[in-house]
Amino acid sequence: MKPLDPVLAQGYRNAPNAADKILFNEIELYSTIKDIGGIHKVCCPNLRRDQPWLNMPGDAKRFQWIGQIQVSQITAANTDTIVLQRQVDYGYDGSIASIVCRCFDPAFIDGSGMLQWRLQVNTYWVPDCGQIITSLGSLSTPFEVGFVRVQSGQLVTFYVNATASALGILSPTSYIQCALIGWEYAR
Amino acid sequence: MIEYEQDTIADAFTLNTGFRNNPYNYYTVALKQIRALRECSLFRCKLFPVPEPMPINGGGVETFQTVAAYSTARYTVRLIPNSYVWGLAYVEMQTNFTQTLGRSATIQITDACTGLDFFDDFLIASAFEFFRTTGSSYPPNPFPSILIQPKLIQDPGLLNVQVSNRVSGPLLCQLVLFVAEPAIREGMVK
Repeated sequence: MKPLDPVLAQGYRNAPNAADKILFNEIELYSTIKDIGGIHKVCCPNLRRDQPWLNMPGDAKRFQWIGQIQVSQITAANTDTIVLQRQVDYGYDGSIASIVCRCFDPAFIDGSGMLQWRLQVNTYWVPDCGQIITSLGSLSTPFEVGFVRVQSGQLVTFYVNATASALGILSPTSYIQCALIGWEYAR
Repeated sequence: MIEYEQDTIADAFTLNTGFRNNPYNYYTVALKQIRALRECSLFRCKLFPVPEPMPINGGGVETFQTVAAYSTARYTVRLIPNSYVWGLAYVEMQTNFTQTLGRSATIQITDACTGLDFFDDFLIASAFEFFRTTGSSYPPNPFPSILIQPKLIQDPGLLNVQVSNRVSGPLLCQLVLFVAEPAIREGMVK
């Protein structure tokens, strides 16, 4: 049996070996790619670079998704109820620039936690929009959220969640409204 | 001119020599994909926890940051440039640090250099979990979960990690990034 090399047995030694060469070759390849403009330039030179999620391009299509339910449609307390759900068109990416979430009942107290709105993209909550307890914006002056990027085929859902006491206070015929305003652009 | 030596597998990465060469087993096949990392001598294994433990209550007790209910927390991990991320492990805990079966989080990792995401969309974090409750019909995942191909992280060596908490309570969790970082002296290689 070959005796253990005491240096090798520790796992590392200072001399590079053939495996290191493979790794260094790959690092060098990627460094070259980076030097000539990065992986996007090499692999997909026609990719848009005008950051269409920040400024709406001329060929983009604007969307204004609006959902509205009555309080009576919230069937259970402390349960997320869908107010608005849309799927981003296939072949398009999008940018949500502004949102609206409102309750038209005069008994609703902003910030009390009676109602919580949540904005979800597929399985994750949009940062800072997972637990909104105040009304935000209106259809005439939507609340800007600083560009939430969405991708082709993703499911965007706006939920509302009401406490049991809220369902006792709010009129069943009053409306809860959500809206998402932004644009979609070809990928 | 560097002279490269032939070497045997030092395997500082999985520390498990008990795997058989089974072509129908993902883990053993994936292990072959990182053969260069297992044999190399100038990269060392380092684990990066996300989020990092941090002192709370004035520094007396050390615990983990929690991800608030219904929120997506963002963390930045700084690696040595030209490191390889080759494995992931995830664990969820109760507040007393007892491990629980994770069903609460989705994660996404983005390479800040290229802007490329590791996953097409947010991924259920329990995919990288190695813990299973007693009596579960699922076998435990091998530890750690090996990526199909190690990801090379170039300069500036930053990874953006997002952890989204899907449930109504704060989430105590930790994602562990298994990284091979270069241990190279200045001027040793180009």
